[in-house]
Amino acid sequence: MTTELDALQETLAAEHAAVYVLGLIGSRTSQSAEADLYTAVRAAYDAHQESRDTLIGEIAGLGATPSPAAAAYTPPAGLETTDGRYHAALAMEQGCASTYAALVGATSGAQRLEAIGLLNEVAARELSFRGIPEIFPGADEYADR
Amino acid sequence: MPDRPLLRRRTAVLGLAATVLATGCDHGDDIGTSSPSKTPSTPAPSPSAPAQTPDEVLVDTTIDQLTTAYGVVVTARRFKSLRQPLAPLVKAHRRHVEVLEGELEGWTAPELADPDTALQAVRRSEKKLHAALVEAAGKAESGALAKLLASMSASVTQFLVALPPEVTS
Repeated sequence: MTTELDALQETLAAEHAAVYVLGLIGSRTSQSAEADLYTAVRAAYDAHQESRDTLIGEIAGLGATPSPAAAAYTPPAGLETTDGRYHAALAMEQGCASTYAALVGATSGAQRLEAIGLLNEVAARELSFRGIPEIFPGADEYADR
Repeated sequence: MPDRPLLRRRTAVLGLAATVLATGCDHGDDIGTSSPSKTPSTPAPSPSAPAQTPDEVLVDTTIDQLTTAYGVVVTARRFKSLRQPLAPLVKAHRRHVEVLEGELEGWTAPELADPDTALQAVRRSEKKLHAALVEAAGKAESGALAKLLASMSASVTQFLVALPPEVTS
């Protein structure tokens, strides 16, 4: 059984990874030639940084030690093209949606409401990375029922 | 924490609730197989139906809200210019109700004068549904149900973002 603290730590790990991936994508995106992508990546980067910092505070508030970022991450493939960067950003946001959805299921009260809000935010951001509306964002287990 | 909700055991309860809604009968009546030998003055002994859990009530309420939103979208799609843009939303509502083991019954068609009015009505209706789904996800006792309802709210968020800003002919 996943405890609330476990779920928060897993979400923090996902946020650390998201900040890394978005930073990498941003560093390879032209602000002038790929303005839409750059703007979307910038907004997502800021949002994930804020979520990461909030989670660190919440985990510390529970008396636990927030998990640090990993020493290294494997860069997503395909970042040399615009399409590849869109794809990597979308995949990252979809992964975060799954993490937030799991957090919803593992929490209650104000913590859950915050997780629901984050899930909705990340779902909306998916569309800025060429995503299309899904029937069960973050909960793929229902997609094929 | 169970990995998946739900709620097979609520199928019978929901089935009864749906039938009651469709026929306008009071709860507890034996509406499906009324016997000619029964008289109105001698009510049939109703089997002791188990009380609904709070989550079952939540699911029933959510199905009602999805049904209302579905009615708005389906009605809006009668305008040719909205038929294609709203098709995925109709599909999503159907799947959401299906996963909740409900049925889309008894939806009503609002008065929608023109495509612009219809699109605005869809937007208002979906925002209302979104708020209801968020509230329901927050209230659910089951974590799995909370996750499912939150995912549905996120789906509605995406469809709201993707709705066309205005009707194009």
